[in-house]
Amino acid sequence: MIDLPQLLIKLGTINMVLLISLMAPAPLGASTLGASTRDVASNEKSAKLKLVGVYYFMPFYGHLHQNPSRYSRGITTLGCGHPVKVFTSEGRSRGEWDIVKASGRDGFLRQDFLSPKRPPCFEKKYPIFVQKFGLGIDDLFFWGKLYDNYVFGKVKLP
Amino acid sequence: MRSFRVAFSLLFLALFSGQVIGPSSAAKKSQPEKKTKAEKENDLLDFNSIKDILKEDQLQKQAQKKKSKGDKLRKKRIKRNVTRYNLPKEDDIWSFLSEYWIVKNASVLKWEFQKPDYGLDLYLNGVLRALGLYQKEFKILLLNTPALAHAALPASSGEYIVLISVPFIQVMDLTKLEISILVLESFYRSDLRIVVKKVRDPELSKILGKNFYGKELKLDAFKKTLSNYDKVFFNKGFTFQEQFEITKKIKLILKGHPKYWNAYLSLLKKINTLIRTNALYSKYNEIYPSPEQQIRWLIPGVPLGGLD
Repeated sequence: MIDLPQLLIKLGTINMVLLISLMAPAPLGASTLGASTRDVASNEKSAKLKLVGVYYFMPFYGHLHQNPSRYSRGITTLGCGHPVKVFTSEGRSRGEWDIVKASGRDGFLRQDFLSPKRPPCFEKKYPIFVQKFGLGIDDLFFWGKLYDNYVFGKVKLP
Repeated sequence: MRSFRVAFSLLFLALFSGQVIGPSSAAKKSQPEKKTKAEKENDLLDFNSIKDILKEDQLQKQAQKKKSKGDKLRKKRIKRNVTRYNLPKEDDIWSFLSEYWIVKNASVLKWEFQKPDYGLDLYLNGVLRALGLYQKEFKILLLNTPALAHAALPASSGEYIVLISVPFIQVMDLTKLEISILVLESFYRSDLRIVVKKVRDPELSKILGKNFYGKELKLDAFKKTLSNYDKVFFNKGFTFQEQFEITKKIKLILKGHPKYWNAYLSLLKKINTLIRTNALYSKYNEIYPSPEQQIRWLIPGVPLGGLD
């Protein structure tokens, strides 16, 4: 003889477990994010690259990223006006992130951080003042991180 | 015959003797005078001196040209070197100082954390367009702390730097529209230069835009300004008068847009409830006095109990 209440409880428990496992979002840990962008990064790098041109880094300081993600590891810190070579994969146009080569290193930078013309840089305009202000290496590192964390917006004329 | 021969010989001698001995005075007079060596040298010298003058003239001009070119390049180099000692102008300094303050307070403000894309930039863009506010460039920094609910930092003209606490947003369950209105309030706080007037050290205005070539640069004014940021955003805050100015401005902008007006009212009501019920935000009133009063300025005549 089947114990109906016990069966219902067991079925209910199984259903709940199934429901929770379906509803729970995949953990947005760095490993998950990193894996997907690593695939993109390695695909991008292994594909034939076409040189778009030389562009200049615009923010005061920023990081050249290992992957096309603001949270990926920073390879090196770049200052305003630093020239970079921008590449695209064959058959693709530039996206939110550009494949770049800067200071002999390959990485990714946001497209809106790059300008085809040399930008007016605060440090170039007031070099001795910035020098006297005494920015440390940690300041430069965090300044680069700051630009990774900003939400940028621009409202242009229609 | 013998006398004839003698006479002829004498005559012959007389005729040709001059040639052997020397020319006669008449012959001397008829020939041109030969120049003396000294005279010859003089002539030569005169010609040379003219030539020298001519030569020197050309070289001198060249030398002058080269010298003036060299002078110009030297002046340019000195000027370039002097301009390296320029102090930032009023318009350039604020974004630098604000970002420096953010960087130095990274551990307090806790802005370096992974967060999802809320789509705030696109939504805010839409709100600003709907209100007819164009040519705005903004940088929003989300904070992972309730220590600073929201702030509009001084920035260069045409640019806005706004800080917003994610816990502050989440505890009140603010909508994207309400967040956009909060950011808009920050924009106007920036436009009215309220924060700049509060943080600026009086000595700063005297040195901005000047040059310190050959002088010692004292950073006291900059350090005092940066310490004023701490005072304003963590201690002293704003006055009722300043809050009234902002509220009046927002009221004017949103009056023609009922949806946004209601969102602003809803935002203020939520903040008012939060600060009365949540100990973490009890200091909010000291920084931004007071949401309750702001509601009264928006809707005059609202009784005390009728705000919930």
